[in-house]
Amino acid sequence: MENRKILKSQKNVFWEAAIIAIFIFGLGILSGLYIENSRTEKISNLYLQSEINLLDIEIQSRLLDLENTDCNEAINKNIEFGDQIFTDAKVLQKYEDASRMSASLEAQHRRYDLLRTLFWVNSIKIKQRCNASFHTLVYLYNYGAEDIEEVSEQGIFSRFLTQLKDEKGNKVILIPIAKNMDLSSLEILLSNYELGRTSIILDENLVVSNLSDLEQIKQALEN
Amino acid sequence: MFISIYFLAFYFLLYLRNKNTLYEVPELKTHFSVSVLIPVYNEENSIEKTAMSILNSDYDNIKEVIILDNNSTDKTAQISKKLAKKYSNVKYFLAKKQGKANALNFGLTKVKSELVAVIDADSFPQKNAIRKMVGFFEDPKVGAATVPILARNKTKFFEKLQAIEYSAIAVTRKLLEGVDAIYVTPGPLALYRRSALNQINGFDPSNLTEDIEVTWHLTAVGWKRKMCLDTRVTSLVPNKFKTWFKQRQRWSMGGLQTIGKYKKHFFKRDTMIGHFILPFFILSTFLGLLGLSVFIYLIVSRVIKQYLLVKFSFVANTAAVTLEQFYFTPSILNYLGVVLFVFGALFTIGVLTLMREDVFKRKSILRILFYLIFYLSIYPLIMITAIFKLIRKDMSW
Repeated sequence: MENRKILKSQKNVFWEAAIIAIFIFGLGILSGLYIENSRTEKISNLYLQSEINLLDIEIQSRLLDLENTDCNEAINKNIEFGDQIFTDAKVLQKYEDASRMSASLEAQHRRYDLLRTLFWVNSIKIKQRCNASFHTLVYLYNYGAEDIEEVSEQGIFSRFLTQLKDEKGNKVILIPIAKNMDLSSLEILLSNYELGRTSIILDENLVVSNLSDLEQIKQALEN
Repeated sequence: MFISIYFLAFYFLLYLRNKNTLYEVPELKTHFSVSVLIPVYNEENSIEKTAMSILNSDYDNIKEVIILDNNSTDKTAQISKKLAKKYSNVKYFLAKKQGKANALNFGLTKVKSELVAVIDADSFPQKNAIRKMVGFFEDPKVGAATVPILARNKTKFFEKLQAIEYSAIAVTRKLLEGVDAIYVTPGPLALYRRSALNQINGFDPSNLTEDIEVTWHLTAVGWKRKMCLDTRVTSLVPNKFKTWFKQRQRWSMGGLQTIGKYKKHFFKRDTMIGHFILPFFILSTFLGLLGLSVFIYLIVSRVIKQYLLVKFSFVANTAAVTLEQFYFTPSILNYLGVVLFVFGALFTIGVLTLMREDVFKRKSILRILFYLIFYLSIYPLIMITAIFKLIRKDMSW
C-alpha cells in the first residue's frame, strides 16, 4: 500500500525521464539524419558537376569524328576529369564509412559507378581515336564487402593504386568501379575478362587479381 | 545509449524534485537505544580507531559496542579485549562460525536495544552520524538507514578515483530514496530496526554481500530504507588494483546472488524490488556486458584488419602504414557517444559538487575524465569474472 503511494507520487519521474530520453535521443537521430543528408547533398552536387563534365568530354569525343578537332584538348579534359572522379571517390568512401542511418549514399554510389563506366568507355574511345599515351587503370571491387580478408585486400589494392597515381600523375587515369551494382552495361563490358573478387584492368589488356601480381602493373607501365 | 540517457534524465528529475530536502534530517524525538555491532577479522590496524569513533559519538543512547571476532589470527582479539576492559559498554565476543553474516547474526542474539548499527572495522563514522540517522526511525515503517560512505585514504591516484565513485554512489543513493529504491545499506555504516532484522531472521550467510541481500529482504517485506546525506562515514579503500578488483568481484557476485534469490519478484508489482530495483540491476548488468562485447568485437576486428593490411602490404610491396588510415569521419553514433559522455561528465561533476568536493581544479577534471573513460570501463570485465566464479561456485574472497 505504502509502495503504491510512493509510486503514485513519484511515478511521473519515470515517465518524465522517458520523455526527456526520447526527446534527446530523437534529437540525436534527427541530427544524424540532417548530417547524413547534408553529406548526401554534397555528394549529389559533386555528382552533378561530374555528370556535366562527363557530358562535356563525351561531346568532345564525338566531335573527334569530325575533322579539325583538337585531340590534345580532349585528352587533357579526359585526364582532368579522371582526377576529379578519383577525388570524388575518396570523399564518397569517407562518407559511406561514417553513414549509419540512410541508404541514399548507396544509390549515389550506383550512379557514380554508371558515370565511371561511361567514362571508361569514353577513355577507350579517346585512346583509339587520338592514339593517346595515357593509361587507364580500372579498379573493380565488390561494394559493401563484409569479409574482413576481402576488405583488407581491397584496402591494399586501393593503397597500391593511390601510390601509383601519385608516382605517375597524368600518365594514368584511375577509375574505381564497384562491379556488384547490377549495372548491365558494366556487366557486358566485363564479360570479356576473367576477374577475381578484386581486380585491376590495365589498358583493357592486363588483368591482375592477386596482390602478389600487382608489380606486373608497375612493370607494364614502365615498358 | 537510450537507456543511459534515460537514467541520467531520471536522476536529474529526482534531483530537481528533491533538491530542497536532500540534506534534511528528521527531528530527533525518541532517543531510541542503539547497539553497535563491529564484525572483525584480522583488523589489528583499525579496530581501535573504529571503536573509538563510536565511543566518541555525540548520540546519547548508545547502549553497547559489540566487537564480533571472526577467529582473527592477528592481534585483533588482544586489542579488542583491552578496549572491553577499559570501557564498560564495549563487549568482545568470539563468533566462531565463519563469515561476516554469521558473526552479525550471532551479535543480534546479544543485543536488546531498539536499533542495531553495523559498522565495518575499517570504517570511521563522523561524530554526529548515528545521531543524525536515528531521527529517520520516528517513521515506524523505516527499517534501515544509511549515510554516505566516502574514501578515507585519498592520496594515491587510484584511491582518488575510488573517492569519485564513492561520492557518486552516495548522491545517487540519496536520489533513489525519492522512489523508495535504495537497494543497499552498506557495511561501513548502517542502522537497522532490530524488530525488522528479527522479522527477516537477520543476515543471509550464503550471500557474499549480506548488506545488499538484507536491504532487498527488508524491501521485500515492506520496510522503508532511508539515507542521511548530512553526515558521512569514511572507509579505507583498496590501494592496489588486485585488491580492488577482488573486492568489486565479490560485490558483483553478491549482486548476482541477490538477483537470483529475488528473481521471483520480477513480475510482482507489490514492492519496489519488482518495480524498479530488480529491473535496474538486471539492466545495468546486461548493458555493461553488451557494451563490453561490442567493444571487444570492434577492437578484435580492427586488430585483425590491421594485421591483414600489414601482411598484405608485404605481399603487394606497398607501404605498411599510410596517413589515410588515421583520417576519421565521425558518424552519428560517434556524435551521440560524445553527447552521452558530456552528460555523464556533467552528472559526475554535479554529484561531486553536491558532496562538496573540489571539482574545478585542472587535476580534478583530468581525474574525472580518467574515471569516466577507464575506471568505469573495467566494470563489465569484473562482471564477467564474477559470473565465471559463480558458475564455478568459487566463493572465496
